[in-house]
Amino acid sequence: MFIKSKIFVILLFGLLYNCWSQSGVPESITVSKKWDFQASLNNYFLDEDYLLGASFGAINSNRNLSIFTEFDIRPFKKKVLDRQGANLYYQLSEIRYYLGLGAEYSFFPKDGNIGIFFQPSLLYTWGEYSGTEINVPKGLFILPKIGAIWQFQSNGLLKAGVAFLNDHTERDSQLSIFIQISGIIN
Amino acid sequence: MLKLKFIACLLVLLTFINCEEDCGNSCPAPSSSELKLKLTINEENPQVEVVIFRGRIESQDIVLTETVSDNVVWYELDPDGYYSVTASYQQGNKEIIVINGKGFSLTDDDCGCGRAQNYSLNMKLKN
Repeated sequence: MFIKSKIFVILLFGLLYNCWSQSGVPESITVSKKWDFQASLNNYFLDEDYLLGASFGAINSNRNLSIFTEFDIRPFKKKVLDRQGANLYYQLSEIRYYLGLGAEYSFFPKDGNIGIFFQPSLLYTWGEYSGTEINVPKGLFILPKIGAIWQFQSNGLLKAGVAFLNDHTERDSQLSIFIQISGIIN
Repeated sequence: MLKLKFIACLLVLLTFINCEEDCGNSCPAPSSSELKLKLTINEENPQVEVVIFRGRIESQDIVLTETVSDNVVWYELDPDGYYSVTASYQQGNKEIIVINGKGFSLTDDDCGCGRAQNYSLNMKLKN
């Protein structure tokens, strides 16, 4: 899984570099005054883990700036080891939730419908272990995401990229593959 | 047309009769729920001690303690409430206790009576 993530990151950055070098750096960020409603379905694929969620917010009519609130859950329990003593471990089944705010800036080359996006979010995470009252590590964390964005319809966006999910959960790699589909209501 | 109306009325009547026959005046007591446990049985752990608690493990309300040697075992439990399970393993010099739990609840059948459901818990060792 980790090797697959690495390959995905290399391919993604190759695509982004190609897109950037062909179109040049934008001179300024233009912000439209008109905003539309945007709803998104979020997917995070991690090392032996998966998160599913939704985002709701506003996007400007230039389709390059958005703000949103995000809620994600882990639909399947994740097995984690918790050290209790010198040689004693509990293997726990972790359920986790995420809630927070985020923003996105995306850049499309001239007359193009494929671009790049950068999406930082501030999320609060909490959860529980099945079968026990042991407390799950919880707290705020920053979730940066970067990747490619495809405007496949005037009101439809598909994003694929990577996210660094430093969410207090025990795992080998915090790097996740992020896929989001968004719909816009004018 | 008259025949069709007659058949429709007959079907409606039969439906009501069937419901009365199935439902009766009172609901029967719900049967037990079946809990399926999936375990890791290997050379290091040919037998695993399983403990089932009512509530979380901290409650110490033990329902059952058993040593099992099968990868899958079933237990019959009361059909509502929260149950927690522990399974104790050895891995090298480590002792690993797998903990999991689930809330049991009744579902309504066609007559509005509570019906027990079956559940499954993964108590396998993490790879």
